[in-house]
Amino acid sequence: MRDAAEGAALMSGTDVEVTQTTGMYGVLPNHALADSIRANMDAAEFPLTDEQESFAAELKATLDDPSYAGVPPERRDEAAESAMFTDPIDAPDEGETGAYSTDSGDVSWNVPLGRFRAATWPAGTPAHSWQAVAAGKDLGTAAMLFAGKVVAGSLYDLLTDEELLAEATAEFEARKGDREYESPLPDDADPYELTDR
Amino acid sequence: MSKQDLFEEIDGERDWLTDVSEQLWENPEVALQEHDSAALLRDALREEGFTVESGVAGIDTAFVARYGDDDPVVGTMGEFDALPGMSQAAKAEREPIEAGEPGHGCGHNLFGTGSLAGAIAVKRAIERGDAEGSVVYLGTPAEEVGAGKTYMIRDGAFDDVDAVVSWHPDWINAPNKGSCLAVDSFDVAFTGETAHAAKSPEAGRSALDGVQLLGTGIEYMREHVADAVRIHYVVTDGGQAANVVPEEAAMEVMVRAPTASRSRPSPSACATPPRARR
Repeated sequence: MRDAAEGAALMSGTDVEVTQTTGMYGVLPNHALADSIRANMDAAEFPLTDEQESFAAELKATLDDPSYAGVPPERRDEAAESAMFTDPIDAPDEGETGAYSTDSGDVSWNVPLGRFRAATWPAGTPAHSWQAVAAGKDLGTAAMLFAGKVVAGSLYDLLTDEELLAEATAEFEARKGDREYESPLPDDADPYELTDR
Repeated sequence: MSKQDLFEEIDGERDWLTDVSEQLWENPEVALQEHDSAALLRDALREEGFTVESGVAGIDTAFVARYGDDDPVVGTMGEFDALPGMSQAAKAEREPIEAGEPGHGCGHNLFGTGSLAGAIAVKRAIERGDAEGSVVYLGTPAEEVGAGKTYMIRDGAFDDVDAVVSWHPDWINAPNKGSCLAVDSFDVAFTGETAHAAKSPEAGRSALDGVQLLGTGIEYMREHVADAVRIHYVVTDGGQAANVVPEEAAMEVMVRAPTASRSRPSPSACATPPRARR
């Protein structure tokens, strides 16, 4: 990209300055922690009330052509028929590289990171939709409490089960290999400039 | 102690936790302006007995709350920033509370509070002597502009943490085992020479030409990068008036690529085509 910019400047007789503003690493997954998370999902209940469930059904009805591609094909009909898809499922993204970026990627290069998702929104709701906002006040608190329990359960496992921490750490080291994390931020990077642009 | 005892700590605080989340939802604050939101979470943690360090990495709303002095140190992260323009009532029809104002379209009010619940339950287990070690809650602002954590890492906020478990709102309950794309973001500024576009264009050098040539170059580059690589750009400054050769023009360019197979994981390096073989 920098070479292309230099070429463009040469062709147009202009000067060019390329400044890296920010950057993020891809996520290093951690299966040991994901498996602990999965086990804790089975132990924690999902405290959805009838009122929440019926609001979820109303909200879901407003979704325009929702996609259920986020769950394995054999569960998609079920997801399409549920207001809330609360059954914990195995990681649907194993072995995949999602077409998104997150600053959690950088965390995963510095410390073993276990990640999960919890069903705060009606089945098929896209992030950054008005339905996601509407679900966030009350409906989503069921998943919030569930997520709190899963976080607590896995952190507790890490504190009380030396083997789990050792396994998660070994996996982190193995995935990282001999690659060192170098901050993608320019030396003079100012986070406040990111929001002023 | 059983797992259910741990979970009961959270059930016992259900009303209070729901109230914290609702307060965040009612007052959505966008990236780096989450002052009230960060303060609410910090106060909750302080009241619970955590030691809170604010203003981490030079960001007012970044914080680290810690309980315990022993190893190992386990942590969770809480995000709490909202999205601009997403104001919406808690109703099953499109109805902004205040049009154009922010809203929690990514569920970060739930994210920040759910992680708070988790951190508190683990703190109480340590306090009771049911577990040994320390727990940290990393208050990570500005996720929506992709900033907070990267700065906190550079400042060493994660250095003594042995493992982190975190989550994100969605519509499924599932762990993640996948990866995602690394990204490099750039500002590219061209500077030329201005001139009257009709009378003396030969005296000018158009910065906009530079922008367009780079865009064209990027389009040709796409064929020669790995399938997973994504390159996107916008023109942030294309000049002021059509009858003036633009002296200044600029683009924002993002380059994304998987890092898994790279020795040095730089997306822009992945997107640099190999030199033509002769």
